[in-house]
Amino acid sequence: MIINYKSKKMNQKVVLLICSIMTFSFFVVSSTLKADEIKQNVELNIVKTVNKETQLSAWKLSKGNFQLELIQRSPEQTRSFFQGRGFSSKVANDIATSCVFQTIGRNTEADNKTDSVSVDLSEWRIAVADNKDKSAQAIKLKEDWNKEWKGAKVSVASRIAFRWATYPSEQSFEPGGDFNWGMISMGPKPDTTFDLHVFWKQGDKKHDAWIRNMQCPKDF
Amino acid sequence: MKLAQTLLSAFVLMFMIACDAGPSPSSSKTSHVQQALTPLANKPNAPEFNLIDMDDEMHKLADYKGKPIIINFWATWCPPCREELPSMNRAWKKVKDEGIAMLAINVGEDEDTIFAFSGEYPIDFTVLLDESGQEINKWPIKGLPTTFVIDPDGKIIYQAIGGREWDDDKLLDMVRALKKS
Repeated sequence: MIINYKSKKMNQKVVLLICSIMTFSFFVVSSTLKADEIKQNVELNIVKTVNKETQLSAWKLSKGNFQLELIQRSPEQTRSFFQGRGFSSKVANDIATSCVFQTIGRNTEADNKTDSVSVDLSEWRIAVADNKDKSAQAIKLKEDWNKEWKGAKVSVASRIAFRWATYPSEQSFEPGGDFNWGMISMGPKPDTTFDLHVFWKQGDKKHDAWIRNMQCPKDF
Repeated sequence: MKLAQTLLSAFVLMFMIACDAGPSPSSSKTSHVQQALTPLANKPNAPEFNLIDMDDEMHKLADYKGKPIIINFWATWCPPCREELPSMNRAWKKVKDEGIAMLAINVGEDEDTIFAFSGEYPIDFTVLLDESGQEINKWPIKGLPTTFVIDPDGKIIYQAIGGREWDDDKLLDMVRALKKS
């Protein structure tokens, strides 16, 4: 009986020790991560991170040869960028508050014999949480902005900056390091939550993925 | 003791999950990918250009005939353009005495902007100005930076969309191989 009692006591101590180590180690490891990982969807390989300094969120999708990063741009950052390139305050504000993401798309494959990756942004759709009919809508392409400005006072220099600073609506990436970056305006107002339906092709095969619960950057 | 074992397993699992951090928003660097240049199957003629450099000297494509040329399209506000500039400077050091030309065509910016920029990011090779954005429209480009390699006969042989580490001899050897012996 005495031995049993001692063994039980011993067990309790071991359990207590392991629990303490678990809790301590978990917090130590978690806090030493470079960015705070919020969510990882293993199946689709979608990772959300938050930049500790800027508090801006980023989503990274990886599947096959395709890697896509969508990083929130604060409206202030975008406003200053376009105002600095000759846009009027109104137009710069219209762009800045249209849910802008810095976007990097790349072909991660090195082997030249593998497939190219291509994206066509006109296929991408967003579904906004408070949209009553839940219907998906197209994102706002650079061509849509240009149509809006037809006849408006947007200088040639500003249009050049806009053209090259925004993500191309269609592009192909070859293996061996091809990538492109640029701004994409999803459309909704600041702080809106939405799901993004992304489409791309690897060779001739079409792929798609939903990135859930994305947030338009807040306008402070 | 069984409970202790279960807890220990749970600890190991939690530790592994915590360690398996997803990648943070990465820079546009391509160092994790083995680099290459994409050959253009139809080898189109490079569009002729007439552009001034930072000293108001006019440059034409024809001026460089007989040499392989690396032509990089860039802008000061483009992060991957800035990122690849140091490696382009290093590449220029390697090839400048080898009969290879290297040009950086700036898109849509004026001399003052580029001058101010070059204080922070020096560019050791020739910078040409396409301030009106007219010349870039003649090239098959969708984003910046994009770089082309032209052969001595003025045909576009390779392209690279996005930045590269240009001082990599694997890439430079592809350019060197275009030289006429």
